[in-house]
Amino acid sequence: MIELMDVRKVFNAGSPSEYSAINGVSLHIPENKVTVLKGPSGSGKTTLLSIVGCMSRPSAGRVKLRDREITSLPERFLTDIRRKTFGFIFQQPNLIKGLSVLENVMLPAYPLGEKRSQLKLKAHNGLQELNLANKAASKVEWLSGGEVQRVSIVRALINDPHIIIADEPTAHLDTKLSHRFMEIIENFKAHGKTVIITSHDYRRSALLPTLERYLVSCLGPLYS
Amino acid sequence: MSSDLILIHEADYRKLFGIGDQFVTDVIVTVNNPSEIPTVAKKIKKRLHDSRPIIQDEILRTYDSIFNWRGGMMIVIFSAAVLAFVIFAWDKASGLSAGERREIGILKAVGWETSDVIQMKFWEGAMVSLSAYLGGVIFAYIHVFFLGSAVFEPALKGWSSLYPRFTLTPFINAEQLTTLFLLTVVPYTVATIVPIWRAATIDPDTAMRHTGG
Ligand SMILES: Nc1ncnc2c1ncn2[C@@H]1O[C@H](COP(=O)(O)OP(=O)(O)OP(=O)(O)O)[C@@H](O)[C@H]1O
Ligand SMILES: [Mg+2]
Repeated sequence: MIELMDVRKVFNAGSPSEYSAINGVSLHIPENKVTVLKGPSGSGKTTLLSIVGCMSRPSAGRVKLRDREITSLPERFLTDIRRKTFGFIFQQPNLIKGLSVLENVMLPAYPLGEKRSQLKLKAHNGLQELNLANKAASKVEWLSGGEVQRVSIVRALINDPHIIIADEPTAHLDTKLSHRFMEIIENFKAHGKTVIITSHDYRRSALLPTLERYLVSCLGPLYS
Repeated sequence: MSSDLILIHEADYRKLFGIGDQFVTDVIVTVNNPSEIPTVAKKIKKRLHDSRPIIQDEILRTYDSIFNWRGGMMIVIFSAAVLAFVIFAWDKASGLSAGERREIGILKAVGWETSDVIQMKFWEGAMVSLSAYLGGVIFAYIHVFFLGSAVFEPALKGWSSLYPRFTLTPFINAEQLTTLFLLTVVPYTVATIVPIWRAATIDPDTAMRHTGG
């Protein structure tokens, strides 16, 4: 479903702080599977995910999504793909301060022009699933680390995306919630969706015993 | 310049104050040689003890300084307000805070288009400047027409012991309001849009990461 061909990413090219985060990665991410990217901190996992998720462009190489070359598409099309195809769970708690949990969760749906009442219902259901129903009206500044992470999970799922990209989604979750998350992921797979997860922690990925695991070892110093 | 003035005919005045035809209150003396003016003034004072000779130059000087004083006061207040506005707009135009930039990155990452972001921020900026504008205009209206311009009254009407009461008729000058609108709301809104447009056109990944978080 997603094909990377000799993808490179160089930051600050030409300046003294030039840094090559990805050096020629080729990989195939299959449809309807859970793919786990593993690698030590700084190996370029997050960078790779943002390229896969159309959030940044590779410095070299090509990216194909469903046999469609997306490397050189103009920004407008990338945004369109991003919002129709992907759901992101970021490594950083990328919630917008000053807004309530509910509003944060509904953010990705606004540009699609859905009815507000329907949207609210959907958001509430999502929050309920991760035990956040009582936090819907709180400001995100007040949440704990794990709550923030759960909110971003709910937000990633609100548009019912085909591909979920999760960057260290369970880093702040306790074992029980991690299991709950993995259940959600499995449920996702059951519905024919594609999931990409990163992890630098082996023990965490042991939480995925029932999932087919694609351990990708082509990222520079990535382990399998 | 002052509002403590009543205009009536000379005859009415003489009747009102009981001043006979042979008396006058003010006499204008014209002196041909300008350098002799002070001497003439002194001589008049000597002869008529209860008179008060005032030289034209003095009147001009007094009027001038009063006028400058009032005008200057208004200019100081006004320029302070303008300066505050310019600083505020400049601050908006010269860049976004790290938090704002990240916010835009997040919005883009979750699927907002550049135009969605700009639209949202445009309304935000427009709301701020519009409400400030309307608030200011309404406040000014109430202040001038209902409270008789209490704050600026002394400066505008002058100080004197004789205060005739007068009320201003409320009216709205559309041209002035439009000018004010064009000079405040429009530049402020534009000033907020430019940096947002710049931030909204870079990769969401960079927008989010640059600022850490
Ligand atoms: N915008 C950028 N400018 C400069 N360097 C960057 C930028 N983004 C990422 N890097 C560098 O690229 C390298 C890879 O970063 P990345 O976030 O992809 O690592 P990671 O594998 O996700 O690590 P972790 O497991 O700690 O999250 C890091 O050394 C990082 O400092
Ligand atoms: Mg990372």
